[in-house]
Amino acid sequence: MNNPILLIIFFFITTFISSCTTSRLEQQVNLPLNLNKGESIAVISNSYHSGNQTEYDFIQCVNKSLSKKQDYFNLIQTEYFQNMLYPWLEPRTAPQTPEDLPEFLSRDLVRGTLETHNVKYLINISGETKTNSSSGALSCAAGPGGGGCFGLAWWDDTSSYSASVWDIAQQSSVGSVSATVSGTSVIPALIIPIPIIARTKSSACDGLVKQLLNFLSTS
Amino acid sequence: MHHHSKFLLLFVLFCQSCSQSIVVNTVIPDPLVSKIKNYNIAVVYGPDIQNFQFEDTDIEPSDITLSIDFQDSQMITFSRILNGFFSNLTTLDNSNNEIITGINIYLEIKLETIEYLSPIQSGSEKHAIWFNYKINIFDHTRTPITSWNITGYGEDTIGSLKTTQSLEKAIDSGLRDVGVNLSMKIEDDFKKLIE
Repeated sequence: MNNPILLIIFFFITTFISSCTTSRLEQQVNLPLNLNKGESIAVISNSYHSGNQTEYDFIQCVNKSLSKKQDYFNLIQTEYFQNMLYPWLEPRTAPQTPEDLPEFLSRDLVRGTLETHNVKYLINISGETKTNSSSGALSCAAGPGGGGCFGLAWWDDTSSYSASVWDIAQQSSVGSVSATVSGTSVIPALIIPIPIIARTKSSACDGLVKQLLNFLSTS
Repeated sequence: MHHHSKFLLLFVLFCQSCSQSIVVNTVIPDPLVSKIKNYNIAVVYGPDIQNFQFEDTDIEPSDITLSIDFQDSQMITFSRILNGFFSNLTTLDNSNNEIITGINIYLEIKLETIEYLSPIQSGSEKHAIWFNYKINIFDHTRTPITSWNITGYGEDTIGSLKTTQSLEKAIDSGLRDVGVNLSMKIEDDFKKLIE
């Protein structure tokens, strides 16, 4: 491979292939769903008190996608929902499992607020994006004649999230969906570093929302 | 090392003798609680609650100074919760030691400690902050009855290069947690005070 153009093309093909993602989506149904048009759903998340690290921007992504991609049910935004029920939906007080729902709903004011807003289901999100491994090396230098970088660095990310749908009236889980996306991000540098980022978190958000919409449309 | 930590370290290395300043504007919602009727409460806030500047020069690397201007966010947190429970809440000046006719309970709220843990100090990608307050409670003659310790904890993971944004979120969570603990304490223990 003496031709520098061929070398560059080979370099980019290799890095492009290695930054692709793989996805896995799953669904589990426990009880029949009964969602009528106009009823409300809210998204909540397990808290860091229980060791969960779901990122705020992931919850925002799920909220935004669920609002945009359907007009059958009313989605109450997470932040608004938390403020509406403060202090009973904070990391310290929010239900972490369906078994916590009876205590959460034992407060008259909480029950009354949910009834006023016609909230039928809660979607509880857990999971996070983790970097599994990273490798490679990049070095950059600059001098009077110019500067640049050379090298190759890469890392593997896995975004694994699950969403459990809780029925308020039944005080139990009706089912769950999950999305796991793995990908490799690469930064090749031949004078200029070119980051090729595997967007595992946004792919997981898209996958999870697609699963949720399929799940919720089975009523 | 996670790539976010690498960016943070790069930022820190290029920012020797930097300081980070944050102004807190936490908004606490009205609590969803039942009113405790027929009680007039007076509250005195310690000076560290009314307007507090937190400074930490112990964070690593040691060239960085962290300043947090809490303004009156702590006072707002307490008064929002107390107003949620009590219809008649009077705020008294720090120097006021008078016994006021009609007041059933006096509360004196003081800041004991604020502690902060940076991502580099903790070896994780999180900002974490703890609040610890003492509430001294007096009866209608300003005789001490008891005292409560109210704490709050907040954390947030660094999600981007904007490290101050995740620190602000951690502070918001911490102050909201103070409101949670105070609400639960009033619900559980206020009746014992008045019996």
